[in-house]
Amino acid sequence: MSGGERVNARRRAPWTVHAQHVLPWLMLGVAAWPTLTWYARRMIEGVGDDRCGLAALGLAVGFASVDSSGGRVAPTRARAAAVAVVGYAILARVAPPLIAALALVVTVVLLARAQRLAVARRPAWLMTCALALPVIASAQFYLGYPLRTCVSAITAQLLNVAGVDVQVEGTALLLRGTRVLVDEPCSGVKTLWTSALFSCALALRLRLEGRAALRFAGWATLCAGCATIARTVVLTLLESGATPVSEVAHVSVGLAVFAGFAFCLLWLARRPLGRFA
Amino acid sequence: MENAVSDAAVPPVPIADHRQSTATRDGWTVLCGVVLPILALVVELTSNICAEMFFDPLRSTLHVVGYASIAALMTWLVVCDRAAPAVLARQHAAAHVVLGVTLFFAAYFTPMLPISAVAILAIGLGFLSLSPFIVLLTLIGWLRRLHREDPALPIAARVGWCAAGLLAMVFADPLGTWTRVRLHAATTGTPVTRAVAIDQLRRYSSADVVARVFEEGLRPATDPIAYCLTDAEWNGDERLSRVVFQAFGESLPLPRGPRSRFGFDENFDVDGRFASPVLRDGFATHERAVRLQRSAYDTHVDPVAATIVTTWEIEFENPRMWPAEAIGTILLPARAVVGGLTLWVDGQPREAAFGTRSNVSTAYREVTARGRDPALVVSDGPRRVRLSCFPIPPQGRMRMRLHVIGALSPDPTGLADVALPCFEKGDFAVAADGFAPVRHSVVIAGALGVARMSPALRADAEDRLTGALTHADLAARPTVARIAVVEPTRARLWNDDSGVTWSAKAATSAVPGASAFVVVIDASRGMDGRLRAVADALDAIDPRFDVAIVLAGDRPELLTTGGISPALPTRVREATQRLRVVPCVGGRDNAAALTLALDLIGPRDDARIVWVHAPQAMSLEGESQLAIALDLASRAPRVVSIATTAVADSVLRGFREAGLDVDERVDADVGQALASAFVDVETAGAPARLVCARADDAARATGLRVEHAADIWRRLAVYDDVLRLLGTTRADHVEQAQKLAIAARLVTPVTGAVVLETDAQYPRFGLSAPEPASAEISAAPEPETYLMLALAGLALFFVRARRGGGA
Repeated sequence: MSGGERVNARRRAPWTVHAQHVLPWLMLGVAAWPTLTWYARRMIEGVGDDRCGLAALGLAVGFASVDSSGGRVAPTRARAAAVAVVGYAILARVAPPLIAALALVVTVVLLARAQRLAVARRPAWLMTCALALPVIASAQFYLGYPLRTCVSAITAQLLNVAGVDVQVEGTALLLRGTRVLVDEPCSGVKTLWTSALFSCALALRLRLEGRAALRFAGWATLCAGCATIARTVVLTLLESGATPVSEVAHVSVGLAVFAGFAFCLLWLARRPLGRFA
Repeated sequence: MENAVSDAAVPPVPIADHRQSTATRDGWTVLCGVVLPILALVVELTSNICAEMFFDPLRSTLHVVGYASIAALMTWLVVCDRAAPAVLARQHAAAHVVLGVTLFFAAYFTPMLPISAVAILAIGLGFLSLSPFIVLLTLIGWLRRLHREDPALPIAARVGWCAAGLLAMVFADPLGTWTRVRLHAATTGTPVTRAVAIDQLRRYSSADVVARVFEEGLRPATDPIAYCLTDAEWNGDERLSRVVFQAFGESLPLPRGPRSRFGFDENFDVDGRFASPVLRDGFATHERAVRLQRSAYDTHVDPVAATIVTTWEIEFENPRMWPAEAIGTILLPARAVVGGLTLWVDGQPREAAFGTRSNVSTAYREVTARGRDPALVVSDGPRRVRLSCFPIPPQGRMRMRLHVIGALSPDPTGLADVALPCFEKGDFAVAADGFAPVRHSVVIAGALGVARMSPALRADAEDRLTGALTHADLAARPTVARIAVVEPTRARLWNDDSGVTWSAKAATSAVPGASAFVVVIDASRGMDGRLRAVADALDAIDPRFDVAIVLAGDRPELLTTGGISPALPTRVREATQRLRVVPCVGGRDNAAALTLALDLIGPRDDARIVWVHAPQAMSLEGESQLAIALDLASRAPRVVSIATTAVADSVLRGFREAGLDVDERVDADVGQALASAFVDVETAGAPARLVCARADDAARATGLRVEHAADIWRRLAVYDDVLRLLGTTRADHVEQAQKLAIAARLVTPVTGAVVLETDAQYPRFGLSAPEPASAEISAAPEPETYLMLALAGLALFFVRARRGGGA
């Protein structure tokens, strides 16, 4: 390539780079139309907390737009993205919509990586995109019962250690003649989802990558689990008292515990980044 | 000559003015004759706004083509050069045809004129409904011009073309008209006419056409021909419902297909007033606003204690702007009883009080009159309870939880069915299938392993099944799992509060096994595809039995010769060959076939009626004969009912009202159910009954201690006692039964459960206030997600602000 040609190529670069950046997204949008319409329907129907996924979507888009330091497309990653598109297309035909949507999220992240978007390197962004899907209902369905069982068992152990006589009956706790149910609204799935989103936002804000991000996520999950158990312990003790506990008290305790969790995570985030690196 | 005269009469126009006026006229034609009709057509086809709010102007494809032809003609008139006389003549004729079409639509929309005028003045909308009139004015202008250019078309031809267009629209829905006329004949004619009309409806019409016809009603505007021919107001007529059921096997109003011609299934838009999902198979027979929004089963099966506890959480939603009531009948599993009801009032769970049936019903009636928050559960026949709740708040939800306890009944191999309670009928909507079906969330936990029967469930672990069932799945097979019972033959022992040991054991039926069967087979639409399996089961019947096979068609038909005779293979095969080719259409009168079965049985004590059927939602003529036959029967016949789905059945209701003890089974695989019914009924004359009694020494020596389930067994023992007391005729026994059932908190034929708004209301109705809800409470509900999100957002904002300040 002569010097003149190189100069011309450089002059042409903005147009071709733009095409390389925009066209794949448009084509992915067309290919992913069934999943996108499914997503739109789920958001419109708004079963349970599905619509909260829009907050995660907004967060993901926001961080992507702030960090859009794209460059030329990386060929190897572009091929990986193409393979992911094919994988998504197959999954979209055979798998349930949620699985196909997860595959689409992976495809989106790979495509963003191929376009050298800085944010796509961060696991927290992938997680945020996944949280944008209507996963709370499914998580409630599949994780709800095991979580309830764990929470009730650990709560009972903690209360026993503290000298309160508690027995576990499945997911229910028997104390002072009262049978306290740890049922679906108590499972901790919502707390887990919100905690995950909050920790993702913090991780993206701190630009954590690789192991550091995973370590931070581990701490965040641990904190969220502790928060759920703490809420159950406090509310179980309150409920087994003589006076009934009002709805406002339930909400207040839940929010206070969540605030404690957020404080812990912020404290962890303030530590030197080397702790997570 | 005429042309010359005409040309002479028209004053000359300057060329520039002529071009300008032509452009103005063409522009006006394109706007009013092309754009406006196309817009109206597209809006109506995509949104169905007029069809849903007033009437359907585009009832058939021909109507759509007719309306589209207006725009096509106008385009032709504007675009085409009329220099050639042949083209001019064709345009002239076509314009008259379209005039007829436009007149039809203008007449159709005449009642809309004032509404359109008000709408335009008030909100600037309504032009689309005026489009036929605007098109008519435009077309008249064009006709005058065409007449000037082509005066040769005679007046008779003009009228003829116009009439052709008009009549094409009037006769555009011949199937609808014919269906209306035949429905009228089937409801008002002689028995022979009725039979012929029903047969013709089955052959040439369809349930979808009838649904449309029913929805449109019979008005001069919708179908003038049928209106003139029938001259009857048959909407809401019970006879019409019967005819529709007999013809198509569905009750009115029939569920419709996708409402929008281009796109969404009507189940998608569940919030719309006209888009309530309806359940097929006769459950939700009306388009209902209140709907079952959520349903979750949490079942714990104890293979050692042989007990089953199901907690069923239900949530109704009312999208209307005014309060509504939900009433439904629930089919319980065998040997199960409702032992609790929880209603969420102001977000707090409130337990039900138990009282005599009259007390709880009165309390419910009086409190609902004031629009408070009660829920009521009372018995509605064997294995059935009726759940009522009011008010479901406008655009709000009502959540409740039903506790059902029961005993497992293992078969000789030690395996027991795990069945779930399910709605048999109700006045609320449930989407059985489609885009957004209600899915019953199911969790079944069995300590020592549980095997799934429903393919929709999956094993998360050896002892845990989870899954989501549509209502169609659940109604077709309420038995969703099986479990191996530990030591199935040993009695269960427990101590009561006073230390007395009790035992419970399934008692062998005192009724001798059967050796003769009259098999009554329904040939309704719901049995379609199942008769082959029934025939296979009959082919395998043991030749030692005596058997007769009756087909419940439009008239009962005895398929075997010689009454109840030995089940010789040749004799049975002759009947099953006939059975394999019988078409299953419409809704057949099973009562008439059962009457014939009763006649065949006569005084034989060892004979049973095995009735294989789809649900008969409507009462048909044969039921009165059956009631008489039951009255005249020297002894109550024993009936085994095998239904394809758990939906209310009018014949079964008749049996219950006659006090008949029917062995009810629900299984979509009727062939297998029939085969197992032959085995069961041969070995035992009636289902094994649970007997609870004080344990004697022998029972203590051999029984299995189940103290951990003592509370459940104590209550099941009380239920057994109550049923035994109610089996006697002594009045004091009823009172005793009530006391026992109220103390044990059970819903029985003489007691019920009710939740009232405040504790102070209970004594007014002779009820004791329920135990505080804190006896079983939801401990640690999480705060709402949006609140936590807001908190998280605040924290992030705090971080950003601090970092920004630091920078």
